[in-house]
Parts: sequence; structure tokens; C-alpha cells
Amino acid sequence: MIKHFLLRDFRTFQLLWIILAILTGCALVTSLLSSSFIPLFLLGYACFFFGLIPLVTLTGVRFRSQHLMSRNYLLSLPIQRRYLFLIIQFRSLIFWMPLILLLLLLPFLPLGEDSPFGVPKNWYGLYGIGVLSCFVWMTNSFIQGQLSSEKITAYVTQRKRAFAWLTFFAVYFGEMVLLGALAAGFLLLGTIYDVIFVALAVGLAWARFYFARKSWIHNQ
Amino acid sequence: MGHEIISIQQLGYAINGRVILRDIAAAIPPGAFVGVLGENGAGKTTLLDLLMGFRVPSDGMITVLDQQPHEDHWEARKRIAYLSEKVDIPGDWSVQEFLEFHQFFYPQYSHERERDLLNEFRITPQERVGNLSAGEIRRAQIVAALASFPEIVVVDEISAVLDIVGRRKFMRLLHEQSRISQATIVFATNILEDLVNHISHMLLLRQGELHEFTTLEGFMQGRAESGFPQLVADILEEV
Repeated sequence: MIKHFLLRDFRTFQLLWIILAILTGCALVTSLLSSSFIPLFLLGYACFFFGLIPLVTLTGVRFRSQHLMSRNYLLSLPIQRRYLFLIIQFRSLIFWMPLILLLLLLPFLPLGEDSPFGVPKNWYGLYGIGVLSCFVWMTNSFIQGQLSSEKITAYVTQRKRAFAWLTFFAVYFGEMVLLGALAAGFLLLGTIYDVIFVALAVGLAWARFYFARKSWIHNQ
Repeated sequence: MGHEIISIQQLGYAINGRVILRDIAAAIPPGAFVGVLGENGAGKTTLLDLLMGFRVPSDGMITVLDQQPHEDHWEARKRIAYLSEKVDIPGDWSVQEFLEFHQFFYPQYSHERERDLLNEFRITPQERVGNLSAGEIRRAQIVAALASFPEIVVVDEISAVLDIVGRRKFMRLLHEQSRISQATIVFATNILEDLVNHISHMLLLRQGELHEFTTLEGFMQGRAESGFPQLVADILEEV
């Protein structure tokens, strides 16, 4: 089933993939040559945009032209809707794959002793869970963002819309700050505090996933 | 459980405190061709959304093929075709690519039937969806939907964008599905002329409430002097 969707995605977003592959190669080479993490940040920035572009198509929100797949079509297909939402997660996360893989490889890259990324190898399992949780959290935050925007624009009164937008941006901003702080925390500290950071990231990722799925399936 | 394929009992739906549907009841037998009628905002699309499980009822119950659609008994959807103006497909796909994508989900999908329908609707499979008009896109969707031999066809207001030839063919095909294959058709539209000579039942909504659910014969009894479209329009106009 996932293959059926991914084959279409690879054809639909071919150009994005080619550019992303080139950028990933460049980031890898330059970070190895310069022992610097700046190329990785730039790759992260690219992934951020490349991960956002396909979301409208993947989730089928109503912010679409008649030439994008709609959510009603996806929901009418004979696939378990929870499973279909998982497929969407996977299709969304795949655009972040270069960055996810690079971050997972980070502890093993020869970035030099001055590098701040001193993830202890014995904490690697925890680190991996933390990285993946942050990406799941972020992806679902973006999906929820699309769905919330769709919902807010349908509110009838300007006052209700304005209040909803303000709340939306405040929550979104807070989440991104928290996400950045947690990511930096378990990248830089590498101590027992990792357990707390990772537990928080896993919890928030699950909550975001749960609410995004509910919104997507039942327009709630 | 009765012999009905779709059962609606005291169904209500409200969102953000606004009641869209209240106290709807209907028992739709297999093979029925039901016209869902009502003014704009009467709740036709919401009713069809509930029927497809896109929304969760606030009150009452709806069962389709003995299942409550919002509980996501996904296997049942292999037997249901959904046609709506809210169904869109990527513009950079060719019609053929769309049909290949779609048929993957329906084991009973027939390529022979697909070929016949493509000819009938004069669609070039190699054409990109983005180059088609709104009516042609709907035609492609009709091909995909009917080639899977559905037991239930849910149609939400798609005939408005079809031209007169497309509409006539579509209605004839639905009529055949209903009479020959015993498929149940639930068809929401504002174009009453489409329904004449085709529907067996009608479900008339007024301001979110059920005005009437009856057979066409029952509806026309004693009112034969007016034509069907005129009669429905007169009822909807009553305050």
C-alpha cells in the first residue's frame, strides 16, 4: 500500500528529490571537509521548505485547486483511515529523510573534537528516538497547521477568525521554540537530562499525532 | 436489521453549535435510486458526508451495509463509489495514471468496463487531468467509479458541471446500475430534470429537516397534474 502511494509521490515530486539529493551530497561533503555543522543547518533549512511544499497534496486539505488530490477522495478509498494517515506521515517524513539520516549519523561523523555535537555513543538509542520524535512532532504540527488554517478560514465572523489565528500562531511559535530547545538540549548536553528531553519529545509527538489524525479523519 | 442497505434513524448533525441536520429517518432498500433534494444549505452534502463517514453524527444513527460509516469499516468501502465535486485528482496525472491508481484499491475493478466507459464518455486516457475541463474530469471520475461495479453509488452534485450529453449518459448508466445490477444510488442534485424517469425514491430536505422520504409513485399520487420538477419546486418554495 505504502509503495503504491510512494511510487506516485516519487514521480510527482521528482524535481524536489533531485534538488534535495544534490543539496544533501553538498552538505555532507562540506561538513566533512570543514568539520562544521553549518552545512547541516542549511540542509535543515532546505528540508523545511521541501517538506512543506508537498503537504497540501499529501493531506488533501481544501486549500487546493481542482488539480490536487482532495481529502474527500482519500477518505472515500477502501483503506483503513488510521492506516492511511500513517501512510501520509511516512510520505511527509520522507522529504526530511536526508536530514534525519544525517542527524542519526552525526555521532559517527568525524566533525573534530571542537564540535559541539558530542553525542555519547552509549546514549545513541535515546538520541535516535529523540531525533525521530522531533521530526514526527514537527510533521504533525505542520499537518495540523494546514488543517487548522482550513478550519479558521471557514469561521464566519472576523473576530472569531482573528482570535483563532492569534491562538494558532502563539501555539505554533511556542511549539517551535520548545522543539528547538529540546533538540538543542539533547544534541548539546548529552547527559542524563536526555531522558527527560526525549520523554517530553515523545509525549508531545504522540499528542500532536493524535490530534492531527483526529482532525484529518473527522474534520474536527 | 431490516432488508435496507442504508438505514438512517433520528440522525442529527451539529457543528460549532449550529444544527445542520435534525431528526432524519429513512430506510433505503437495495436497488433504490434515491434523489436527495433540497434548497442550497438544506443539508444534502452533510447528509452524504455522514453516509460516507466523513463526519460523526451528533445524534441518532446511520448504517450503510450494516456498518456505521464513521467507525471506518473500510472493507465496506470497496463496494461503495463516491462521486463529488469535492473529489479532485492531481493535474499532472494522465487519465490513465489516475485510473491505474484508483483500480489498485478495488479488487473487482474491470478493465473491460473501463474501456467501454472511456469510449462512452469520449475520454482520451493519455490526456493530462490538468488539461481537462471540470466536466471532463468528472467524466473520468465516473469511469473510475463505475468500473469498480459498486453496490452503492453516492453522487454529490456533480451533474451541474456535465454538459447535456454527459448528463444524459451518466443518468442512463446510473439507471442501468440500479435496475440491472441492483446497485443503490443516492444522488444529490439541484437539477430536478435529471431525475425524471430515473429515481425510485426521493428524500426531500428543508432547512435541515426531513420533509419527505417516499417512493416516487407515493410522492406523485394525487399530484399528477403537476410535473415532478414543478411539484418539488413548489414544495421548496412554501414558507
